[in-house]
Amino acid sequence: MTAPANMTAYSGQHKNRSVAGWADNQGYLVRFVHEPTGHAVEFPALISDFSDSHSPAFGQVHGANMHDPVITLKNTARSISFTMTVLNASLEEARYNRQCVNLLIQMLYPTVAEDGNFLGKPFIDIHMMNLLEGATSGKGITCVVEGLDYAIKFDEGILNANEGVIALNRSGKEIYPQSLEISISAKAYIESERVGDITSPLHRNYPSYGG
Amino acid sequence: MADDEIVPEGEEYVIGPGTMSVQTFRAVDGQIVVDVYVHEPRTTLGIIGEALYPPLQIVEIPAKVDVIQGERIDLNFFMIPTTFNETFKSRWSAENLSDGRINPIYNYGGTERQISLSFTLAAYTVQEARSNLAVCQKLARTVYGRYRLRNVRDDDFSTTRPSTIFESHKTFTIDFGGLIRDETAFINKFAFAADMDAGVFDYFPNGQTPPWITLPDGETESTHTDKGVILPRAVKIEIGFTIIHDSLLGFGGQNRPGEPLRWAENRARDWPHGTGKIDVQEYMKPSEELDLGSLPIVFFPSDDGYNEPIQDAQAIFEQALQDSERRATAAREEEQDAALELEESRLDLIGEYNGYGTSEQTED
Repeated sequence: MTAPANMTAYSGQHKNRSVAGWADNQGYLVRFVHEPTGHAVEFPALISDFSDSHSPAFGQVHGANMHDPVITLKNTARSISFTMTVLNASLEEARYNRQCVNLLIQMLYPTVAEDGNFLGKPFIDIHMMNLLEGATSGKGITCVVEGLDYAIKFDEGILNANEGVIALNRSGKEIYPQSLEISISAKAYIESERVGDITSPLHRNYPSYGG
Repeated sequence: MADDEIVPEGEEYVIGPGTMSVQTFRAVDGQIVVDVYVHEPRTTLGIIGEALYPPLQIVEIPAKVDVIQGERIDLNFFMIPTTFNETFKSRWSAENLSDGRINPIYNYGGTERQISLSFTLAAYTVQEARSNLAVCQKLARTVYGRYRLRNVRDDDFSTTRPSTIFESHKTFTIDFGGLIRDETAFINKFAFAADMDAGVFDYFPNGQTPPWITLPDGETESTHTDKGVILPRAVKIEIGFTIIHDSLLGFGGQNRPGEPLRWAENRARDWPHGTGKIDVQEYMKPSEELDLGSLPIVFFPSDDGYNEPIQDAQAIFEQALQDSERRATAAREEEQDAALELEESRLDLIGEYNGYGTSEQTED
């Protein structure tokens, strides 16, 4: 039986000139864990456009001779979105990072039975320092990832196997961006806490911003 | 104005096929000095594109039914990509069972993949500009449907006439280096814009060139002879693909029996993007071949005995296995018989040939 993959941030021979070295030194890391399989992947946390919104949904009833509606809280949803930049400082790092991004994309898919039925829903635990942290230390927030956008801007530069005009690119077909942006939008699965026989709807640390 | 400062305004004159006279102006001691040099473009879009980027290949998959087939789209060209956006969208539905419930029940329906690619087709020569427009023309046709002919009856039901009816969208095989690898897709978007800021190739009719320009008759690399034709030096394209995957997606599945943590495709290649000359991760590696007997028994609705009670599954499976072995043995025996017959006929032929030679010798 294969063990779950655990791809940490790049630590190869070019780590000293990669952003991964600084991120590792500072602990600025984003970690994704695919719940059905346990596969994990980690990136330096070059985060932009981070947003964590808690949105209550209300029902309203309007009565006769009443100005204000009667309000009923139906539920409160937590939505998370952020954009992460993946930088490649060398060809070796670019290849490794591509495998990491591949695994992150694959995490959007479920486990599948031999007859083709979907088995394990692709919930993903996302841990991003103290901004996205579950009640248990080191564990992320379970998310329903609805969309992942992968964007390359070619004018920011590319790495293409360093084979240049002589080899031409048609044989290797390798092409890596120097930087790529990954945007993720997700709904958080809210943790509850069990104390003795009582299940508290929200954990006492919720939403665990570390304040 | 400081001496030797280059005045940005300059002019380009065409002085021969594939060459350009470029004039720059600068001030020296209060005088304007004009520098003229001849520039011969040696670079083409193909060379730049081929050196830096892989080609974009778009090949139409033929229809399975008879359709009115124009020219089949089969493109393989180099371009300068500007952006590549890929979107993976998961279909989740949420059931809110009651007010105040902290989490709804989430149901997962699948994950879709769409790609949007924008690129520039630049032209250094008139011929390249024409070629780029031809590519754009074919690309524009990718988003239109297929049609076929069908005989329909007239109102009085006495006669029939051929009528064109819509068949389906077109599907393509798309390849763009390690980013899109021979994926089946249909094209959901095509937008074309001529970049007028980049300029156009001008029209110069035969024998009507200005006196300071010497041009051979006919089209050159930087002028053309078709009045009223715009040949832009750059066109910008945006094209979108919806991928229809041929391979299995997810973890586990029928290609990975007993291995739910491995990627379902089982082809020892990275997915969705290629990683060239490094080995795949352990969970992507191909599975070892297993003894068939060790695999779990799976019945599909199309199988015999699908509706039989579950306790009989083992017996049905063994029966199916025996049948399969019997068929394999029969096929082997048939093959052996055919080989024997062939050998016999070969020996007969040799015998006849030898006999023929012997009789001739006897006659001699």
